Amino acid sequence: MAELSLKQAVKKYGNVQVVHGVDLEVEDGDFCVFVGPSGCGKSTLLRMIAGLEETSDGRMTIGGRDVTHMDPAKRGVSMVFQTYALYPHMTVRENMSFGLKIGKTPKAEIAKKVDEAARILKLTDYMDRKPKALSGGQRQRVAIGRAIVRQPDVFLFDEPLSNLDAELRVEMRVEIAKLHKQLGATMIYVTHDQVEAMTMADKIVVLRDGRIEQAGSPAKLYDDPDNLFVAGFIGSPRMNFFDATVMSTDNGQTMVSVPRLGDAPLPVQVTQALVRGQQVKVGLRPEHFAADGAMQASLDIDVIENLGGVSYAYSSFEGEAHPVIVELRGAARPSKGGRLTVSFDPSAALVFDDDSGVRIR
Amino acid sequence: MRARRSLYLFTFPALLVIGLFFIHPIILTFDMSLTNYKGIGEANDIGWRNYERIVARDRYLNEIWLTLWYTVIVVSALTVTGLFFAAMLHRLPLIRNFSRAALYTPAMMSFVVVGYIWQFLYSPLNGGINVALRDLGLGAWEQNWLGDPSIALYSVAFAQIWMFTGFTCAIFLAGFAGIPEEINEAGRLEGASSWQRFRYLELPLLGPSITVSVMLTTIGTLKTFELPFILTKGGPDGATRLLSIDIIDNLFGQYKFGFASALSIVMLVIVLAVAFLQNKVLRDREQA
Repeated sequence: MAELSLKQAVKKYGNVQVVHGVDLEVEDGDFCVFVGPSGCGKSTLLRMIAGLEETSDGRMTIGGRDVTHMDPAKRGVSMVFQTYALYPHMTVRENMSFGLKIGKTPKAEIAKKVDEAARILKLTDYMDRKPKALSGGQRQRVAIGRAIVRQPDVFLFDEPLSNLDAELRVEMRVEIAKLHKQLGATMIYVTHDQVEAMTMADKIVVLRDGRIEQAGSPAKLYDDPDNLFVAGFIGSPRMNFFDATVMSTDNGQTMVSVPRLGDAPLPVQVTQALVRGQQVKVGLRPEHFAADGAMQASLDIDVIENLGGVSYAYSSFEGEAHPVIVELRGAARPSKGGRLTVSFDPSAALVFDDDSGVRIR
Repeated sequence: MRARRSLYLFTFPALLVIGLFFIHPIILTFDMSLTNYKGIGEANDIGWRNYERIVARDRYLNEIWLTLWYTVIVVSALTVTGLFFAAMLHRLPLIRNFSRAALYTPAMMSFVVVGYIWQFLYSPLNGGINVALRDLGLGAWEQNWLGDPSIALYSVAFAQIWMFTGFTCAIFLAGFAGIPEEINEAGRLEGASSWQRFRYLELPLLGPSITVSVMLTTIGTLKTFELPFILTKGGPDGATRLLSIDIIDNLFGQYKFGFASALSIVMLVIVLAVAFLQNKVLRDREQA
């Protein structure tokens, strides 16, 4: 096991730069998740770490060893692919032992390692089957087993659950988390599913257009996002953003007006100096609307989604890209749309610069 | 019921064409093979006598063995060279398309052109190959490539291999394209060298392409006639006298329509038997 460090890592395809000077430290034993929308460069970055893509510039170390231009097999990494990439003509046992056999590991040792991995992954009964005779979840486990037997310093997962159905995805998510705990290995996991990121990660790295937008613990990214993109990307349903104008900044208390939430000025907690009349964005998560909040707002609700324990009310307004989403709990939840008065706690509101999207703290 | 009727309705034209232009000529040929028809006069029924003659005479059995041996050489070499070039080009994407087209060019040429080119190259005195050997100081290796019975068959086979390597290479390149890139990447991450990835990952996954390539080249080579005919006309001393050449000789040289038909039926049976056997063996290997 080992830590991973990227210093100003750059990837270019000809004149097109897709990864822009990424700096990242992943501690030994961390479960680090790269998350971001399609095309943000998360898979490219993972493949650069694997050595499947040449790093154009910058430096990369694993356990203190410079691996920037090292052959993939010598980096001490194992990768689990989105499509599993199992060898279809080999049995489960042959799939798992292929790398060790190529590396001329003694047969007895191969058998021991493969059996141990099969036991951990509950694959013992399927060792003589070929991949086509396995279910999606079993194939995924074989792919993980193939990674385990090599005892790498760093495990790399490239959207490993995206080919599984919803139920199996949850099951495998828990299994991978358990495996991480059991092996204590450093794992880098790529996903576009932020629920996976939130539930599995010790550290989340949010990427956009080949740059890290923010890196930190799931709670840190959720509660204290650095910018509009991270605030909008992390959390499901997404954070509500409202256009707002700074009304006053007297006595260290900044008040903003949020027309969408009524006429009452909203006190926001910022220490940075703002100018009266400045345009800002105010962010409030759906769960920040509560029955006992200090402020109230009235919204026209179009649709209410009842998920059992919780309901989400959607309020659309002409010209808005996204509807305002309000989380409703308790027994007295409305079941139909209409005019709804909701209250919220203004201290939960986050403020962002309207132009740059950077958080104003 | 309606669906079944329309099924027959739509397949009828195809069945008609197959029956008219494939099954019917075979039946006619078989019918003629039981006669002594010589192109003019009456066709007298002589029973199985033509077949008895084929089986009884060493000459025809030797031709069958020669045809099979020629096929083994050509098909083996085409498979190996096609695989070699495809594996190389698969790893060299920058020159892949150009090289594939260049390799395929001989297969697009007429047999007459290819035969003429190789006749010039094989010419014993001022042929390209002997001149090149002489210029390289390898004069001792000069040969009468098409005139020496011990090497003529291999010289003809080489020309055929040169002509069709691009064809098998194209089949294998299509096979390579069907192997997911992740399989190769997984192999790279596990430390497999380029050769090991070819041997243990790509080659087994090329099974269906190998089946197609071997089947097509076997059938084509068993029936081959043009190159041996143009280069050697079956000589020297019968060294390249394949079954197909004897069929043409009997048919248009000696006008033995009945006997040539019997030889054609024998060839058809051999082609079908070999193709069936190969298909079974190769498909079983794929399934394993």
